[in-house]
Amino acid sequence: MAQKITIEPVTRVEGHGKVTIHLDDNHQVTESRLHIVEFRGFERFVCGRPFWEAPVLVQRLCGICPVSHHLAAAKAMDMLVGAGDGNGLTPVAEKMRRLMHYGQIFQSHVLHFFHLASPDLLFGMDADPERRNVIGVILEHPELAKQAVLMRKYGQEIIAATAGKKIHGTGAVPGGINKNLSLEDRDAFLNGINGNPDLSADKMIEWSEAALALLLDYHSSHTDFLDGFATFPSNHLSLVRPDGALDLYHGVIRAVDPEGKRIVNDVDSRDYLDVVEEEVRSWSYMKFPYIKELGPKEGWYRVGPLARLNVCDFIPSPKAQAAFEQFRAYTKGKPNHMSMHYHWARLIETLHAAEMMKELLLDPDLQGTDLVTKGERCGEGIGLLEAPRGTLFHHYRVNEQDLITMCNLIVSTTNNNEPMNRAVNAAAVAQMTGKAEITEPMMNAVEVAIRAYDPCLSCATHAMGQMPLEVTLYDAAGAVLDQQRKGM
Amino acid sequence: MNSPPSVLVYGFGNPGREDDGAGVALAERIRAAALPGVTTDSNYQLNVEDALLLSEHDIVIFADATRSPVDHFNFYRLQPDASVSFTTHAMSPGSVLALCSQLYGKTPPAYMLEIGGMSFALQEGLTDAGVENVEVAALFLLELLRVGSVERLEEAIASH
Repeated sequence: MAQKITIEPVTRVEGHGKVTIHLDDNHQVTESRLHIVEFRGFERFVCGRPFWEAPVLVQRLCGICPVSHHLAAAKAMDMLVGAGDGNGLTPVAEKMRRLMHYGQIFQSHVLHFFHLASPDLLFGMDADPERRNVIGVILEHPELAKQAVLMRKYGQEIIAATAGKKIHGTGAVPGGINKNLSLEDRDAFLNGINGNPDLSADKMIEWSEAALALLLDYHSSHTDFLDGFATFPSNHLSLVRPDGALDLYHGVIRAVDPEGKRIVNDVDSRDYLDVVEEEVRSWSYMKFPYIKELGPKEGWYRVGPLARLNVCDFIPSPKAQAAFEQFRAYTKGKPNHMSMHYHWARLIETLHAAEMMKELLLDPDLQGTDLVTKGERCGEGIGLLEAPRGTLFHHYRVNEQDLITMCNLIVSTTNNNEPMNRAVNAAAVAQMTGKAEITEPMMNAVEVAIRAYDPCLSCATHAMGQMPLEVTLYDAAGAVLDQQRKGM
Repeated sequence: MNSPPSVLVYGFGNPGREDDGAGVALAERIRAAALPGVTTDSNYQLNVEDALLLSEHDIVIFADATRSPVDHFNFYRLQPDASVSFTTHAMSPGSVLALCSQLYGKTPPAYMLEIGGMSFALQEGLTDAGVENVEVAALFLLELLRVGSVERLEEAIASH
């Protein structure tokens, strides 16, 4: 009799997901899926509200990356108020937003690596799950854990200084920013917050380099695992600066195929609907985006750190550029399709974010006083951004009363829906095929594949906080096997 | 004269989901009272760096909404929860307390103030019942916080 294995919830992944793995009578994996609830209420929640409230309101989407939503919405509002498309802000406004964004990228990547990924890497997938968590990391690597906490704190303090409060952050406003950076704050970030030299810009760079070295050391002794686990060819999509540089705040849309050939050639972000389309599938509430021209079968793509380093030509900060060259050389300049190398790419970006924070802090433009740009009002705003987990799309239409009439969001985790499903299946096939017994480490392998993408399901499902999760299971013929609801 | 204890009141939840914002509203209410020695913080959820914040205070009081039926609010002592399985980016109060203990060798007395919530739909603002529950809980907490020492505060808390 065929078996169905269910792993629920996916541990150390935001929100609730459900993985189903279908085995046939010979214990061969026939199909694996990551099921996610998507609650499409948020776009309606925003409709009817004055457009200038959007950058604050959208932070309610997600407790993990509110800054990303704040900035993507603000970029869309820039268009609405005639402040250009990523190029019309005053120097202080753009640089303050960039500082905010790099603070967010930095702290988010640090959280993922130390809190979610490092337990798997430091202890191995077959370690006791009681030990394979952040407490286990602390017990065996206390200094590493303390560094991670201070790195998180540094990023959060940068966000607080640029965006305001953790809730109701108001730093970015339509057309600009509401405050500059004081000299006192600048000096604290450069030399050490509250006089603590461990909370300085240089220390963040040093520790980011150490984290990267830790991963590379792990890679040298676990090459087969990191290179082979859940590896599959794919397209890769991200924003990129017009000159090909990695740019996490603003850029044109570029995508490459598995061989590195450009399949989306630097399209203006305002034309994203010409590039991307979303497919609905019966068994998941989360949509499946794809490159329109290639169709859903061939056009799905990956986003996030791995995709960004596959798409860009260089990184505009010296230490991260050196690490990027090593990263690209590993696959001889071709796109890297190894899911576990998301961790490598993520730490290169962490280093880049640390370098960029320092560079920006040293820029006197941050003390400028010309905060807001105004222009001719229009009825539509589109804001794209490279959030920690990948490309984030915000699109709004506004009526003559300044009220939002349409809102469309494509979040990073949604962009990675198909790749995550493929990673789950690759892991399941590799770990479970032909096995008569399903062990916890084998099931964890599937979760490790998902965690590489750092999915934020609360964000992807537009459902933060407490809401019921409804899961429906189907057999190969499409018949419903089971349906359950549970609280989140 | 003894300086007042360093008390942190930390409200967490999502104000965009009606009564899920009760903890945040309570923290705001306490902040407005400007009591000596009392600091407040708010966030959508708890995270690893909050362990450092906890280590810097004598007493910590977490505030969050609850779906459980309570008479306005529920208040109890928290224990470090080192056995917790970390399932999301977010952390529970007990797990943050465990982190604080493991990383900094400190376990400040920590309490959980659960405020009754009626509705958690995607909408700004508390329900009428949520507003009432926050007010009742805030009055209770303000009365506690107006005592002048860690020992007396601990005694007062223990008596509830």
